[in-house]
Amino acid sequence: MPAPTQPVPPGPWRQAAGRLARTPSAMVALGMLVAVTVACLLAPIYARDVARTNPFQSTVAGTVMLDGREVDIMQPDDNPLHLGLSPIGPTWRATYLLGADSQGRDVMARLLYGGRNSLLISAAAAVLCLLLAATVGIVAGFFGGIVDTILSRLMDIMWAVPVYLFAISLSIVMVSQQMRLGPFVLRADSLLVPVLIIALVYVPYAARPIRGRVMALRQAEFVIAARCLGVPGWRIMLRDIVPNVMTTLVTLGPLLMALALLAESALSFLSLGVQAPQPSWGTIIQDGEGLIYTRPMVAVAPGLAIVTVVLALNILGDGLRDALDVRDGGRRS
Amino acid sequence: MTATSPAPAALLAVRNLSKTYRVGHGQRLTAVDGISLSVMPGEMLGLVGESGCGKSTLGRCMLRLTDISAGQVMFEGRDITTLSERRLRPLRPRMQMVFQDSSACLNPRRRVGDLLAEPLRVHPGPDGRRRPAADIDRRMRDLMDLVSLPASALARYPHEFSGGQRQRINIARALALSPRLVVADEPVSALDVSVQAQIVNLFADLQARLGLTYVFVAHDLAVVRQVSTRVAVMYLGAIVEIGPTDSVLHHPVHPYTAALTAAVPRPMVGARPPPPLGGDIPSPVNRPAGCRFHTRCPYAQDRCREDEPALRPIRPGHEAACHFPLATS
Repeated sequence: MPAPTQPVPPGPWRQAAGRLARTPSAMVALGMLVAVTVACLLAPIYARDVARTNPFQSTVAGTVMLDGREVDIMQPDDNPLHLGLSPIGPTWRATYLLGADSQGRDVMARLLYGGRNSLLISAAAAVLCLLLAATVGIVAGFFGGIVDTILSRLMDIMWAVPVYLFAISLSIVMVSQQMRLGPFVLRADSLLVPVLIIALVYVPYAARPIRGRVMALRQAEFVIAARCLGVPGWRIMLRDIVPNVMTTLVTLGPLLMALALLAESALSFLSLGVQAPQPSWGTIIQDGEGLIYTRPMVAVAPGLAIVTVVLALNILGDGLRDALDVRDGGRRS
Repeated sequence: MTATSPAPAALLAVRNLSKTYRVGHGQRLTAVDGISLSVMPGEMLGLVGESGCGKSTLGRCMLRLTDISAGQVMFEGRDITTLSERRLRPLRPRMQMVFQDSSACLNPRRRVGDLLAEPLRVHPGPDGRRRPAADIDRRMRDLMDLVSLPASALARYPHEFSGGQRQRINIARALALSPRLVVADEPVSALDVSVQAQIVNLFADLQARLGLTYVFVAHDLAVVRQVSTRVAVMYLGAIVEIGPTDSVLHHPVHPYTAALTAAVPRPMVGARPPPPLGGDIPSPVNRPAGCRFHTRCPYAQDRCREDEPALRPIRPGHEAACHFPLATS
């Protein structure tokens, strides 16, 4: 029996936050994510004050001062005939830190600007996907019967289509023609296009575990106890089921964002996501594809950024899952 | 009053109640097989039997927490067999349940005070209006007092308590709306023996103070003895013996009850050796023909394998379903 004089104990969310804070791997992952995000948010300042370039404008004919020497941004190729031009490689200095792409744009500045788009799209897509999946999963799991059958079969149909094929097909339709939904016009180059597509294609992946959790909860003894107490069904759903599903949602969040980031990069790489001249990590990789033998940094840098963020998100997701498990964290063993 | 002809004053009456589950391959599992019994106001009915005999299912059917396959459930003389969840809601305050797993039946994400306030918030007060927060608060403190927990427990989460304390919280919640009938589904079987006694005493004490009516489900006869005025022994979904506690437990006439009572360790000098009960309880999907107990009965005869015995009076208020009831001393 806890002594009556003890302070009011913290709620389960705060306890979970405490457990997360004591998980070194999750904290390192979170720190990396925060660092990457802050760096990307500071992209305009970096471009203006550090790199002193405009990352959206081609500077094919320009020159740049390096160690007091004037250097061409586009240089003759290293091959014996000096045919063709290669952009400047990594200088490891403020300007052109990671070199330039084939249009003479600062890769580091574009990487930061691209990160803004990539992170924004993947985070927004993850949140939207979770909202859709939670609605579908909770409704299907709670009401069961014919409602569940219809929603579940719908999810199965979407599941049956390979996720990238599905996303690419949707993108081709939406990118090639603008969408008109009543008064809203969705332009083909809008960032909302990849957000909507990615959110939609991952709904079945998130809805299924949510539905399973709700179905398990519906049979949970505390839900039966609530029915026995005469609590109305909608109140049971809001007060007993949804709070217990929230942990599943929070756990799914980072994992979905990681998937969304990969999908966004893939779509952008195929010119079906973020549209030029807007950068994203996927489009920068595409820019670097042609330079992969001469200036590999153009493709490798955004690739590393994607790997870093996806890895960090997965580690954070694992940490969240462990931290949110009420039973493991409770005194009960 | 007998089990098969419920008196009109019965608080709860069950008639030919059956509960079957589909188990695939066109097979059905009969958890409760045509049970009839009635519970009088102020009575404490103990339901005993091995695990899997359907006693918990019967308890849940009584409160309509699960759908009923056949038969009738009458509460306060009213047929509640087919009432919708919405129509049942006004009756819920008068019939409550205490569950076996004290932690599973408390939402781990809600504070005890929140859990305890829930029934008071969703049901109107005696004046027919929503209870004011101050009333709810006072009621919760009274309830904590009733189950001997400090009021400070209201601010805590269920997992911070021991099993016995959690069961006290469950009892407090079940009593929040002042029910007439409490079905206790093995409320102490998950607890340590030392704690069991405290909770059993609490049940007995509450019955005396509040005039409650209990259906007390248990597999432990020693527990049932303390909180039952009448005992029903279940085997494979049916009642095989029912009667006053002393009569059933001290002078059992059904071989199954005799085996159960013999399995309880107790100091007894010169008693006859208990007939050992071999084998397992048969599958409720494929119930043996004839007497449901004949596969394990040490006294089974040919008639038991063909002819199913009905409950019949043995002594006043004491019935058993056996062709060859044991001689009573």
